[in-house]
Amino acid sequence: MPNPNHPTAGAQALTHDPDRYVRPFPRRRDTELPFDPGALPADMPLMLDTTVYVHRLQNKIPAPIHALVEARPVLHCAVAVAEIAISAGIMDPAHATTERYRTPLLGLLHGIGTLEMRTPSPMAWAEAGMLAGILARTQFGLARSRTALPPGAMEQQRESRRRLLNDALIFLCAGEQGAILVSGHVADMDVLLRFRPDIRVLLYRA
Amino acid sequence: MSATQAPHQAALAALRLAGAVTGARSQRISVRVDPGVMRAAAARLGLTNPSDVVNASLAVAAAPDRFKAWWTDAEATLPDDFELAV
Repeated sequence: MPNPNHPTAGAQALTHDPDRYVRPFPRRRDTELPFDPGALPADMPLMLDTTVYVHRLQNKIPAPIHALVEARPVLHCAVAVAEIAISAGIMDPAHATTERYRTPLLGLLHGIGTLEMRTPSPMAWAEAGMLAGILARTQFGLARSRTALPPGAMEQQRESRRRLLNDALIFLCAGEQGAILVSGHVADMDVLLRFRPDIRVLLYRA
Repeated sequence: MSATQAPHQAALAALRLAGAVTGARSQRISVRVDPGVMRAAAARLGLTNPSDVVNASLAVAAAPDRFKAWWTDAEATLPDDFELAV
């Protein structure tokens, strides 16, 4: 029998019972999703999804989101920082475009103080894994067997699952920190909010 | 900077770089504070002496925010075709 005084990874993962989810959620209209910065509680810090940093470097952040980030305390999820760092590290030093792409990423990383970084808890990892698995199967068609896929597609499917896992980790990390997650991943956040509507999210379209 | 560095140490280092630190506690002030906030600040900063807590809190409040500076000043230098590695 599980001991309630010693919670397990299994209990944490089963916060979301995979047997309950066999069909995809219908996509909601934007009017049903949190797009309004004016509707946010006044005293909560922000956490940024990885694409927010990238969109800032591409000058694609809508003005109201830009102003909000200027005005609020900002926490940084270590998962997002890792996604930026791997993108800088993977570039071939000998390639002609590396400096053009890597320099802005390093400038961003130098702007993030480690004191403002937060990591998902072990419980969040267990929950995020289950969430990502359910979503991969029900929502995004990422549970196809190797034999059903053309050559090379299995690796692409694994990569898409990893992206979902990272999205779920950042989402849960924001919830644990009492922060509002700012994200341009509208489709992913729409379904993650079905599972954890208690977590505050602000969406935008770049 | 170490990840385990206390918040006020990082703040003081940034203020030193900005030339704002005189190195002397020469200005005397008298203030009333909320004791609960004082306790919370002391706990976060790992300090007990009230004077140290006030000095450290001021440093944290005054330190430049590197991320906000980046957010405000960053140029749109990343091409539209950039894709994250994961």
